[in-house]
Amino acid sequence: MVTILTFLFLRVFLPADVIDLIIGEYGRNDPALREALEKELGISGNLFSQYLDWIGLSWFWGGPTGILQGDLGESLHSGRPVLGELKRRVPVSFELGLWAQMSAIVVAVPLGVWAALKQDKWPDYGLRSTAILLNSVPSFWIAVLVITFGSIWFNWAPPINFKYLTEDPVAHLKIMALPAIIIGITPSGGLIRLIRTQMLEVLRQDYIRTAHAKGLSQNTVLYKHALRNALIPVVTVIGVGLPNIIAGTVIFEQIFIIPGMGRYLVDAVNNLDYPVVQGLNLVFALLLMFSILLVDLSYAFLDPRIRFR
Amino acid sequence: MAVSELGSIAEIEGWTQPKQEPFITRMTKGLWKFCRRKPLGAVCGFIVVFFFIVGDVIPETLNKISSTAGIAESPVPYVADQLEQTTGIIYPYSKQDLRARLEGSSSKHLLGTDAIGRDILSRLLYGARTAVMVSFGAVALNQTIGATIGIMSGYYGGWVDKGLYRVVDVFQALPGLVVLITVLGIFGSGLWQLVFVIGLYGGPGQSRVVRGQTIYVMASPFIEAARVIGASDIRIMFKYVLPNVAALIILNATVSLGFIVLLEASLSFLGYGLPPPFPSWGQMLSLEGRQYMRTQPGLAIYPGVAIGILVFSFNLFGDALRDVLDPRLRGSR
Repeated sequence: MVTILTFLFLRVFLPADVIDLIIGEYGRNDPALREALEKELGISGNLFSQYLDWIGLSWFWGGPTGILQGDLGESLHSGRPVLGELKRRVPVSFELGLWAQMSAIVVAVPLGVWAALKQDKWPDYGLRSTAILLNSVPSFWIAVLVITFGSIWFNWAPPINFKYLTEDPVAHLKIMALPAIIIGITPSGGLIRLIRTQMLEVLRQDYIRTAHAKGLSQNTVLYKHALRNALIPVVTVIGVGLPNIIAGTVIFEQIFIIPGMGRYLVDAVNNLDYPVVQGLNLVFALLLMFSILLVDLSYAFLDPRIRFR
Repeated sequence: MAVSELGSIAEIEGWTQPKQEPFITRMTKGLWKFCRRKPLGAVCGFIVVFFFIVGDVIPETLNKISSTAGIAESPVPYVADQLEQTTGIIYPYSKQDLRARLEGSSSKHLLGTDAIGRDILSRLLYGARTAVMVSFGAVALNQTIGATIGIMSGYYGGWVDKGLYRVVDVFQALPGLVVLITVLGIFGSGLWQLVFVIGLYGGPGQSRVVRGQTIYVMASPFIEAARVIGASDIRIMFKYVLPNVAALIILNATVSLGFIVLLEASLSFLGYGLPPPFPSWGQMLSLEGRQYMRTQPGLAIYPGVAIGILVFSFNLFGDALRDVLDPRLRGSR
């Protein structure tokens, strides 16, 4: 489904532009050249057969290889295969997104619980207003501020040379930490508020009183009984917030010069490099769907009642 | 005469018509009640209205006046000139003063100037226009789409519901910013493209809540009654279902306003917003300005503060509105 949509979006309107762009580089408008180029780029023929080519279904009756054979085509700009490029870039972006999500959760869960425990006292008010504030400030602005004032006050700038995890783990983590924390800020605002609400609801349940009455310690009640139940709706929100995180990685790869998918996308869009754009949209959509599936599965892990349904 | 006659008959019959206050009195009373109950939300509502007026209403009306009066060929520069002459501190957004580049704040430029000598305060004010127009336009579009899909699928149910919801699912599986960048980057960007693409993209996702409420409303007896007196499907949807889900639609709208302002800012930040020299808050923070921020930190601060204030007011106003309109959620946040 997503493949069809991506394809339609791009193919129906785009190809003429690309051909014009490339032909413009040759400096003359030659119908024969145009036809040859169209064939080479796999955008000749009608839309349906183009789509089959891209998916790779037509490979079964002797067409070119496509997605099903693990071939996403080649970049029009650099001529390098999209898949090879993606292999280098996907882990980087994925890792960034993962760190961001983790930092959001690590910040939000304790703060949310704290706000719930101190309901209607000053930590609660403070945290709630901070949370709304965090939600309404664009995270890239925070990044810009950090970079600007980092350079003014501490003479610090984000490193330009990117190190991969396999090359130099320590330097790699140093590069990733800051963008990940800042991406995590925006979603954590919403999470704090949600966790607080959920905790308040759960803490009023009978089984919490029972647990206290059994003589369990405060911490056991809090973490084993209350928090676990309060987290179930939170997982949904994490799932819903995933596009936010993806958006964050796209923006922050620009700011912090990280060679992930986001930078690749922006470059490709600017060059009208449609095989790359198609491939990237596909991968982003697949990643998103995969993560949503993962979130659904983690429900079952958190709530045994769902498993028995 | 007829009125007094009616009054006397009513007195004889011992029946008086319930006193209906004029619409404006009711509105002001309602507003006052809202302000009393939710002072913070009300303040934020006023900020929103202020931005709306500064960003949209004033320039539009001035444009109308000046163009009908035939004073200027292109109305905007005329209005901007007038503003500059009367206030002395608000300049046209693209006016450069090359001798005063990267200045700090002064009485001439309240918030200083940027790298090519444009006044930051003026650009912020004109940038409000971009933010407000994009967000209100896109919200209008996506609520229309969301309400249509939601009411249709809730009303008809069955295969209409299933079919529409496949489409909604696909839209929700799309990674937002990535798609927007792709579409805007390839088809080019502008005010209407932004409104259209953001509105279209966000629309289907808004329909879920409306669908749920529609199904709830459909169970009530007045729908049955309407059907019995022979109202058509469309009439029922517009006259009976829509007013009952309207509160939800308004809530959806206020909540997504803030979100769309942020989205527009990130798009312009990445360079897919309005083309220069049009001012936009996100674009003021972007790469071209970043190299000068070391010399003039104001460049980095003010646009972000502007975005923050606008979105913050949208959010708080939305929260307050939700508390008032939706009794189920009262006090839960």
